[in-house]
Amino acid sequence: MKNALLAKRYAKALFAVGQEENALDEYATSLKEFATMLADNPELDDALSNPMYPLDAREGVMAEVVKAAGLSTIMGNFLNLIVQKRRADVLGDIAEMFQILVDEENNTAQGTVVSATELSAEMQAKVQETLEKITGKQVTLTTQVDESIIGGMIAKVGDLVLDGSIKTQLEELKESIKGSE
Amino acid sequence: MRKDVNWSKLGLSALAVMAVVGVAALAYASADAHAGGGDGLLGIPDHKWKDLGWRAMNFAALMIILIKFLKKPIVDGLRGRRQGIKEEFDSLEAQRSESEAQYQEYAGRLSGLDAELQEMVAKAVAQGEVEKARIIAEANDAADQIKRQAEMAVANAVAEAKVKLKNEVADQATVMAEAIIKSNLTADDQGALVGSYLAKVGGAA
Repeated sequence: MKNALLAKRYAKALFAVGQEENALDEYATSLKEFATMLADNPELDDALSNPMYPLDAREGVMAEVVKAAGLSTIMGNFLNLIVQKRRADVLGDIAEMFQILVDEENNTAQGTVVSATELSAEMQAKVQETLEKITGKQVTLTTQVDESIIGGMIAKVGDLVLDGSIKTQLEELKESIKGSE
Repeated sequence: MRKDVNWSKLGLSALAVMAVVGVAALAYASADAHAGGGDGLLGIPDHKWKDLGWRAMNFAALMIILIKFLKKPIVDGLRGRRQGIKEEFDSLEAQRSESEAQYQEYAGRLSGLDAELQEMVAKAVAQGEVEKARIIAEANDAADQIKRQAEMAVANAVAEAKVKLKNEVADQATVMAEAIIKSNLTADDQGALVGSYLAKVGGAA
């Protein structure tokens, strides 16, 4: 996270509003989807954050996007403020920081598990259960498939990383061979 | 044996003789004239004797005058000349003595030159030996250093080659293991791997 301090400041402000409105999950979902949309559409990201374009034009673009997405008024105002303050480039970080704040509030955590093949529902539940047991929080799990890890799994929850992949084990084996006398 | 001649006395004697002769001739001539004689003494007419007397007296007077006025300068000049010649002789004598002394000195040095030359040659040979020993020692040191450096370079190269070989073996072993695992890993194995890892980390928690 490049602009953690800045993102945390905006995230906290929105979090305070979300608590008052009791709409933390809604804001978190909206911000996450908006950040994903910007990441998937570099042209849109450029149109909102490029200082070469006039501020009026960027505000107009944001207003149209908010309108098309059907976001709440508060969320729309927040995104417009972000554009006015020329901070559209840190929207991804703000969304991430906001999710952390919401997770802390709900005693939940966002988890990701990477495996070489698709995990069965039973196995996903088992992974989630194990992660919740380790972190002591309710984990919202996201799965990814990456064949390069060969086998096993890599699970991440916040700063916690559980790496049981074959690829990592082979790397460790290789390093131990190289380091041996 | 050289006999010094007193020229002044001799000159004065000659002048005295001539003056006596002149006076005698004049006396004789005037006595003879008073006597009214014809031919004079020795058949020489009287006026001839008189003339001789005058000439002798004239010459004597001239010589007296010359001696009176020229004696001192001539004597001084001759004395100076003699003194100069004497000094020149002394100088030449001193030069001769000096040259002889130098000759003796050079002759002495020349006679000792062989020994000196031999000593110089011996010194040069000794210095050459010392220099030779020093050069050989330095060359030996340099050779030892080069040898040590070469040994270190070889050791480093061997160590580097070992590390490189070990790394290549590790890389290849990993690649081979990865290929073998990929080709043999089934879906059940994948599930078993995840399950065993969860059991491991879950148990630890």
